[in-house]
Amino acid sequence: MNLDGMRRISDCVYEIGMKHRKGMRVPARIFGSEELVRGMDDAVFEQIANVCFLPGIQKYALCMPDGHSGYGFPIGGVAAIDPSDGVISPGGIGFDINCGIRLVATGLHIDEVRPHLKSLVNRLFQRVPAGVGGEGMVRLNRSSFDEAMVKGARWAVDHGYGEREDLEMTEDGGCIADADPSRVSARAYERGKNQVGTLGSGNHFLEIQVAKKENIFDTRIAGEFGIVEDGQVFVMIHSGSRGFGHQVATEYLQRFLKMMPKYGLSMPDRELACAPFDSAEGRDYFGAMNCAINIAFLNRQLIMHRVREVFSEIFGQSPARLGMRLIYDVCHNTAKLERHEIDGSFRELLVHRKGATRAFPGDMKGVPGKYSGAGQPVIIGGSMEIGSYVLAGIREAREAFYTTAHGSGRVMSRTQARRLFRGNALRSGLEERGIYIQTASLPGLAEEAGAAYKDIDEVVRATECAGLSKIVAKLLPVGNIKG
Amino acid sequence: MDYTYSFEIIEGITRADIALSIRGQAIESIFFGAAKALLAVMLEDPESAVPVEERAINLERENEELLLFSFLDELIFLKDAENLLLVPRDISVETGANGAALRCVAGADVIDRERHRFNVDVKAVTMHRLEIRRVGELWSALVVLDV
Repeated sequence: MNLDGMRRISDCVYEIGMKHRKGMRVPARIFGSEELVRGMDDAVFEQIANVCFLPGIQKYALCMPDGHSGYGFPIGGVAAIDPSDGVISPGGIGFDINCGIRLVATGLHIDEVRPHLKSLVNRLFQRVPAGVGGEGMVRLNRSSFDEAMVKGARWAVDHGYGEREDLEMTEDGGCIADADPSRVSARAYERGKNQVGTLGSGNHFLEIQVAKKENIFDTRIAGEFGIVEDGQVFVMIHSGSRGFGHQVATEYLQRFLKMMPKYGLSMPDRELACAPFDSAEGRDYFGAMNCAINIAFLNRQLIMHRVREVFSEIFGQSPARLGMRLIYDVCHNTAKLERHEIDGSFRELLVHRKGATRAFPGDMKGVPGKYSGAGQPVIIGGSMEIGSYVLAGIREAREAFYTTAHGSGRVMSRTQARRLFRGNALRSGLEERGIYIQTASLPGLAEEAGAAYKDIDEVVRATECAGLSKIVAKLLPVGNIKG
Repeated sequence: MDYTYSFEIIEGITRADIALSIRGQAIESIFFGAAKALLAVMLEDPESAVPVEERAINLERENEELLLFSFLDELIFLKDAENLLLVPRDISVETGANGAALRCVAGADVIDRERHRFNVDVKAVTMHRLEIRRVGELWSALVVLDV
């Protein structure tokens, strides 16, 4: 991206002024080092400028350091909107509603896991449905599905798939309020009913990771999160609401497009179709979207339960004895009502985050008491080659509505990656480096090659430099399942 | 009817997802080509989808662009809801002052993870830069798929 026309606000904050295009209601702010921002594709510039047209947007449209082009909002796009006179837009959330990531600590040392690594990954690959056509872990009839839409991960725990403590360590307790199953079509249920408890494909993954002493950058906070030992093993799970959420978004996108003229709304991209939040259509989507948020929480909870079962089977001990504890579960694609300070006063805002993570400081409502001194854990999923990060929410991120990055962000399109890499060669090369991979799709694996992504070290450095969150630890991959 | 079409993946529109350009001599070729392109994006070998039954897809929308959106959405829906891969056979598209209508007969194959090797799943068709254009005798379309 050419930086001409952008103002550098600080080392890691750039601004596109409102004069950039007629009709922008606020400026756009892009977070990142100069290298990262220059490396963003031009479509990011266009897409984040489009976000500035949304009625009710407050302060700035934001793009996180891992930003890259998508549709509607860029991936990494954020907009905080006044719900009293502003809009809600499915394109600001994405089709994979509540795509998110969770991190599970174990008490196992890599020396205990390494001899069983292949059988562990193979067994996880057998038991966690992944890829297209994978059958879900549970079959729910419509009335059970309605219940699950309201209860989210709580439904899983109520039915024996997990522990009460898991819910406390999940954003929104794994059960967001204002979910309204009556706003969800039969078609969305039909599409989603066979996929509850499936990983999916694309960039979704299940990964076994290890902490190294030299990669624990803040031992106090890491300790509070449960990252305590050199060689400690972790499991990371990245998945979303699957076809159910995709269908909810698809249907409301079309409905909003139809009724926009009624409300005098127009946007520069149809993918940013929106409705006044305080309208029947806006409330309907909010109720349906919250159902999809809950189904995604349920999905990740079921996958984690299956992971615990497999570890238990391989190591011959209960998950509790293996120290398998959920550190935290964060959402990436949501619009949530939150209280934020705007020009000195606190207001309720509808914060759209698409490919971005909420990052609350420890004293904010919603952060588990256990993390009140550390801040909310933020989990940045990286590539299967390089590694992932754990960060913490900080007070300084106020101006960004307490939002941070969610991953490393693509530098290559999927097609470019597939031209350059071969799944088989990638897998065998990684195995030589001690990273064992199972995948439902070798071409899909090639699309997820490490070189197709930004340098995650640089992304998290920029994230900290921009005051969005604090770096805590890096976790390295040793085993990975790709959908 | 001759459904001759061509398609290519367009770079520079989206890094996270897949932008497709489809060309044909008739609007039906665009719909036919879009359905085949969807299969080609998802499957390592699109010819591995071997229909064993037929499905009729009949849709009406306000214009041909929204009709293309709904058509692809229906194919994606059937993949998830009924585990079906749809291969278009006969397509007719009528457009007029009251909107656009599609009549499609498609062959359906049930997803078999042994037989069908997937590149990637397609989650949704998007409205981002969606367009159908006619220049002289040539039709073209741009579609961005969420993967």
